[in-house]
Amino acid sequence: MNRNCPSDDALSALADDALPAEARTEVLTHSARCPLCAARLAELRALHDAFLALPAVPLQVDLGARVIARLQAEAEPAAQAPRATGWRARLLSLVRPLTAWPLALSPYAGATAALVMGVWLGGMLLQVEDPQSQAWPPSANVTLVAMSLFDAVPPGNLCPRADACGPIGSSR
Amino acid sequence: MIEVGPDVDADDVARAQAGDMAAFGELVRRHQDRVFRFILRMLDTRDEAMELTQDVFVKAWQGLPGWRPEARFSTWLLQIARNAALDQLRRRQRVQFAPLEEGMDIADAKPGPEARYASRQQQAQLERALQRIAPEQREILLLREIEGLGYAELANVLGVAEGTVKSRLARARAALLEHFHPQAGANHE
Repeated sequence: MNRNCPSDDALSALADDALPAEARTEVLTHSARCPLCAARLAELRALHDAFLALPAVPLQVDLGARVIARLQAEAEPAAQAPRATGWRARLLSLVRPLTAWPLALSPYAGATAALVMGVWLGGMLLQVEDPQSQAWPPSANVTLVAMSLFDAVPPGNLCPRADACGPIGSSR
Repeated sequence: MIEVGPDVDADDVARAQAGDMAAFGELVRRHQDRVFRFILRMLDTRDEAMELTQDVFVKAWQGLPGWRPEARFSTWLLQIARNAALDQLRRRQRVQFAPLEEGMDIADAKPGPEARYASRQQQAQLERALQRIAPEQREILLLREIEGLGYAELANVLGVAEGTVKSRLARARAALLEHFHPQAGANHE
């Protein structure tokens, strides 16, 4: 192939009959004189013929019926309940065992727990702050001493006025 | 090859777009062989090709509401098939071209004595040679030589400019001719 020969792109396009008229005439004229280009063109055309000679490969099944059955099968569950896919599906599969117990994650459960806890703690405070009903020895009243730390005048502080401190020896 | 005119498809496509599965079934039957043979020659595995052909039509059904008749329906199907085949090849990690090993020249310089046998030999050689070139080259040759797509349609299906189609076709043919010799002739060096 010399520098005057048309490019392989041009020969290939000529074999496809896809060259403009002027370029086609040029390439054909050149190929008539150039045995290399003529051979290449013949090879490209023979390749095209070889493709056309390839046997048919029919599917031999009614794919229409199969595809419709598949589309219908996919459409039915989707119509019943749209389901999450991908990462959402995996996340929901982890949460689902917990949500199987209906009250576990409900706001009522949290409110009830808070209420019970509040009543329990409140009951403890009432017990220790009622010196009249104290039935156990002072050594057992550890909770009272501990809670007095949160008084307006903690233990050890000076009483700003006479009635500000309690009668049990602490600041109250 | 069964060529189907666009007018034949237009009515069924319109009905299918309106949700008519029976009309879509007709489209599938009309184009199934074309899609299948393209995918089969891309993948070279019949079962895989059959499965993927179904997938192509399912994707086509899903994409049908947005389809506009700017291209032939069959060309659009081939575009979906081409993408699906390349995805499958990527999954198989066979996108990289495996060069022909030494001593494995496919072309047989001595075909059988009978013409029919020689023809079968040549067909088998061409099929095998197709599997030896890169998928990007294989697809453009199949779409051009077997499916008969024009340069503009090839550009549309492959998502490239027409000039690229021309050069890619030339390179694909040159690559194939390294492994397949359709006839004895002078080398074009």
